[in-house]
Amino acid sequence: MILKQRFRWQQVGSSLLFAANIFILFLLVFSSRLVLPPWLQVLGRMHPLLLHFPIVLIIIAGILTFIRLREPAAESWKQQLSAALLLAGALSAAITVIMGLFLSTEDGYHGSGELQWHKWSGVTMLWLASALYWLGQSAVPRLRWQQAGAVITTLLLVITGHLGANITHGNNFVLGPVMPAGKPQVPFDQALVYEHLVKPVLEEKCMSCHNAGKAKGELAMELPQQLLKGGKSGKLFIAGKPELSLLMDRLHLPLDAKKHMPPAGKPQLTPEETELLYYWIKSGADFKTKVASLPPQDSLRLVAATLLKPAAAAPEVYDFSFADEKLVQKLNNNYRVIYPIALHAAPLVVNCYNKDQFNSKVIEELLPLKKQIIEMHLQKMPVHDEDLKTIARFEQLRVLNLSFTNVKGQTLSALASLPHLESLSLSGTPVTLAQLQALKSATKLKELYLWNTALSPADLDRLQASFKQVAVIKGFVNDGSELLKLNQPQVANNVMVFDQHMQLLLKHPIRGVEIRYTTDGSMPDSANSPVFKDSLLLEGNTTIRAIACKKGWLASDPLQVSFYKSTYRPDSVILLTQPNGTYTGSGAKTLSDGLKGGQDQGNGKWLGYTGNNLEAMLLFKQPVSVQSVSVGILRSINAYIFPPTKVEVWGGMDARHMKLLKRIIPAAGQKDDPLTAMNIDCTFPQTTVSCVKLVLTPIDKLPLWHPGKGGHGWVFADEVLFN
Amino acid sequence: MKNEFIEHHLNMNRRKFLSRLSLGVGSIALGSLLIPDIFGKGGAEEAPFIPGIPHFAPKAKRIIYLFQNGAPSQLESFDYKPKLREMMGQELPPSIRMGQRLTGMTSGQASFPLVGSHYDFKQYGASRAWISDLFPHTAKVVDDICIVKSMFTEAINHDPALTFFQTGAQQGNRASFGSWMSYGLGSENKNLPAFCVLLSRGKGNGQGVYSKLWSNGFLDSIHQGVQFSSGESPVLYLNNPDGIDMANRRQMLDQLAALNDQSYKEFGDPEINTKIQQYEMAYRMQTAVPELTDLSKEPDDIIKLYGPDCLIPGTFAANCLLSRKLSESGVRFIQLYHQGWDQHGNLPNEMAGQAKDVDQASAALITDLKQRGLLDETLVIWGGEFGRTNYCQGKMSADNYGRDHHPRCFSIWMAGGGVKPGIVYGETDEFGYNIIKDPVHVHDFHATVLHLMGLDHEKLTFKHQGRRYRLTDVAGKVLPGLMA
Repeated sequence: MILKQRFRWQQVGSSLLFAANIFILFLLVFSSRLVLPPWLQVLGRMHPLLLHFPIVLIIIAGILTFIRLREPAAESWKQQLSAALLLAGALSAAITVIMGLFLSTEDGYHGSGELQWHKWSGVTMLWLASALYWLGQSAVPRLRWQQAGAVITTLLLVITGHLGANITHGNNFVLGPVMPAGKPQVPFDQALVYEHLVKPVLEEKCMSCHNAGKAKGELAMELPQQLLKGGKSGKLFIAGKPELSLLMDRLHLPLDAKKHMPPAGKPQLTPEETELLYYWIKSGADFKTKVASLPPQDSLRLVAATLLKPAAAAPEVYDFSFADEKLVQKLNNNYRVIYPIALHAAPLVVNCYNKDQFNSKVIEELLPLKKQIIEMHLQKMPVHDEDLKTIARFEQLRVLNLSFTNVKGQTLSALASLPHLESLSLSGTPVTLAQLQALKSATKLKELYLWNTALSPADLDRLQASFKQVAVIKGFVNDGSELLKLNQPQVANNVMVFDQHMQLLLKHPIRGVEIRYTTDGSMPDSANSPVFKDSLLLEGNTTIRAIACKKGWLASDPLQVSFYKSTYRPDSVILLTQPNGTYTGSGAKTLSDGLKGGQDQGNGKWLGYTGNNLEAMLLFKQPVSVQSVSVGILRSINAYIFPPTKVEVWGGMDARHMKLLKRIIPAAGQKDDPLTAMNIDCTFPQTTVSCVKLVLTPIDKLPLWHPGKGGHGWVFADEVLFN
Repeated sequence: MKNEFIEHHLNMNRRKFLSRLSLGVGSIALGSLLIPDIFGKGGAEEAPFIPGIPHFAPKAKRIIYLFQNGAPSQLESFDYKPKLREMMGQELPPSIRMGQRLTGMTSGQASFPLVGSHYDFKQYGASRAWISDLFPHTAKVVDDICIVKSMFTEAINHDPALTFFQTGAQQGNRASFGSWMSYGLGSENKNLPAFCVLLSRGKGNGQGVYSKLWSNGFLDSIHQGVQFSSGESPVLYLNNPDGIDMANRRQMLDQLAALNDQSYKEFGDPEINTKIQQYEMAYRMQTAVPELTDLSKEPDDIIKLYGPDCLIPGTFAANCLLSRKLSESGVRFIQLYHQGWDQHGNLPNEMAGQAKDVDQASAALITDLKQRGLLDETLVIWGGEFGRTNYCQGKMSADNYGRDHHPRCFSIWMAGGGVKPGIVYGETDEFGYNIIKDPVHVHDFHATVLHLMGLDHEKLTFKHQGRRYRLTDVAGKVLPGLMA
């Protein structure tokens, strides 16, 4: 009866084991999509507790398969016991695996390679144990198989357990106490090239095969004399000649070459390490040289310096609690922005904007967040000395930017009590050396920004000398040693054509610049030429040249602009022929808008014609008496823009009664003519007209010396003047 | 023995099989309880993305990208190749070219004569970096910058290359770099746009820039780059028209918002909300911008630092100074474009002019950010869309030559914001044609910059037309070698 019952229990257990295996299989397939309710997380976290059961049960069951009892009844009882233990072990293993899978969905376990090994060895172990159990239940006992299976299962169990322990306790938890600690950091000025740089590389990458015990290729690399001796293939290196050295040869062979070292599959040297060996051999392969004794720009020293640099500091871990999210939200507004440094992170950063919205209260209101705020950026805000006392209460502050605030520095000492302050910017404030000395007790301070303060360069040097751990950032100092050339003065008038007279306005963007000018075509100079004041009255065509001068600067290149008098301005202009679509200026009014086109044909201030004449009708409401018509044209030989081959001026009282007033054949464009905007003047006896027709003919065939020979040329016009 | 076999077989009858099956199905059913979307879309679903907060603590908070539009030659700037001078006029060996495709501009060229830099190079700083004489000011800040000599790209013509650099794809229609940044990190200062664009142009042969480069693409239009005018007033129409005061304006906006809100409730178009937000921001910009763009209060030394052009609106120097002010006021991403770097011919002349335009102001920006304590949190990037060939395009003379487009290697530099300062990253061969060490693909560059900004480039996604888009598309790796 008891036996029967035990049989029933085993049935149930076996079914459960089957179900659990299917369940696990399912979880494994969908592992990336699991979403656990919290109560299951609790179960998952019991994984490290439960895992001890399968370990004990399976090991005992495994041992039992190796024990044979002479008494048949006892043997049968032992087999029953072994089967029951194995079943219990496999079942508890299954539950452990399920919990482990639950646990692995929690944060912090993702992507760890060790976890994957642990998971799969654990699952394999479970399947082996299950298979072993069902093997034992089959009709034909296969003892050898069972024993072998027991051994493999136990082995896997140990491996899984070890990997699991590594995840929980960290690598080498067991052997940690007897393992040598990581290499100690050697200070730069004490480091020896061989001892602290070359030897560790050889130790790590070569000595596993080339040691006194193993000495592959009869080469050992542990001691200097062994290195000098070399191996079977000869000397390892020739001091001073790395390119002839066997060592470098082997390192540089292609990875798949048979003689490449270290052999394929073993950890290879990094480029820096190879470089180090190269420069070490090149420098004579000395075993006693100090890194610090090498010349400052020596290649070996530079390589050594990078290798000796301590690894980047680990990111700071903040251990404080989260701020009340609602409070943060409430304090956040358009002018005071508070945000966490990252998603799900407690530390907060504060930025303030807009001077007019800032007052002492803006900081005071933040005090409830003083345990979380690590950065405050208050640059350019009207922060006053009294506010520093409030700021000093933000005990977690790391970064504080007070540049160009109203801080005078009297209460600077308050900031010294901030225990974590690392970076402080006071640029653009009138702080003094004495006030800054108070910051000496801020032990964590690393950066101090003091550009544009009351401190002289000598003060800054003194400060840097007394603040050894702090980088004092001085910024740009204008010591007058570098002379820059000023840019040209600018014309403030919008038109360059006037009818009676005009007030010329010149300006320069830089404060305190003196503009000197000439109107006679001579070069202005910074000593004798007249100084431009307010404005200059122009009464006729004038070409002005002007330079900008200021102390501490080189005078600018001269600006040259011409202004033209046009006694009459046409009331309307009609273009009888249309310009080329690319250069339409501002249409017909281009010719009468008072704007000159400058020297850039593409600026939209020019009318451009090619292939056909420019023909324009200029109309006056009241008849005018003229004796000269000037048309502004552009000459840019490289850009195919030539003077017109013919200019005709027709005039009359209306469009139907016109006569030719003047025809001009301007000088043809020559190969080396410079780029110029110029006027073509047509003078004739005084005539009263209310309608003038202008005809400009572009060059039809470009001359033979021109790159575009034989093709059409262009004519460009910008303004017509009547006097 | 035989009996035992029979008994065993009887153990595995149909009833047994079915009961076992039910156990199996039952356990699967149990397991399915743990997977809420078992019949859902499937695949590894990432955690919902929360825009506006970095994924992890960032090294840099803001970016100023000094884009050199047209592709400055690396061989006259940061990639020193004395070999090219030695081999002046000799043919580019086919073993180096390795079938690299050519642009339409040189594909007809019968020979590819190597040409060395017209300008000399010198070594500077602790990294002993080689910098050409065209960039004397950049040379002074060499210890603050990281020169990357091993950038490479896939495109060979301006528009696709530029679009690739600015949006992560050559075809266009994607969100630009700055828009992604605005989407991922939000605006720091809610009174200014998160993404601003400033244009300038040099005298060299130029290529245009188009507004698609700062387009929000499929992202919400609030993330679009705001182009500042290069005229006297960088933001147009900021002042209230005559007869309207701030109170009127406020009232008008409130009414307008109410109407917009009403139509939002009716149609549910998110763009309506965007519009309301933009009106609100424009209102706040009315007070924030004048203070920002007023350069007259800058100390005299600043003008000396950036050069006198910094007070002439629309110049690169003025844009650098303005970008410092914008960045200081919390603008996430400031994109400058300086045009005129396309030196197919007349390179020695044009390049000198272009370098003169940008060298002093670029270096000044680094110094200026540093002296205010802002360089640590601001990432400055300088570079073009590809490099230029080591052989001459067109006619070559002793002091004049041109270079065609070259995608296989080019140089950029980065500074501040978590970038390792004072290093030269990557190496090209002695012909300056192929990369031999630490290549940096455009996708890698994007991934690394996003990482510095606290964003995981694989998690910064936006679902559009049935797929998730990333700035780095399906590629890109973060390069730790560039980061401090």
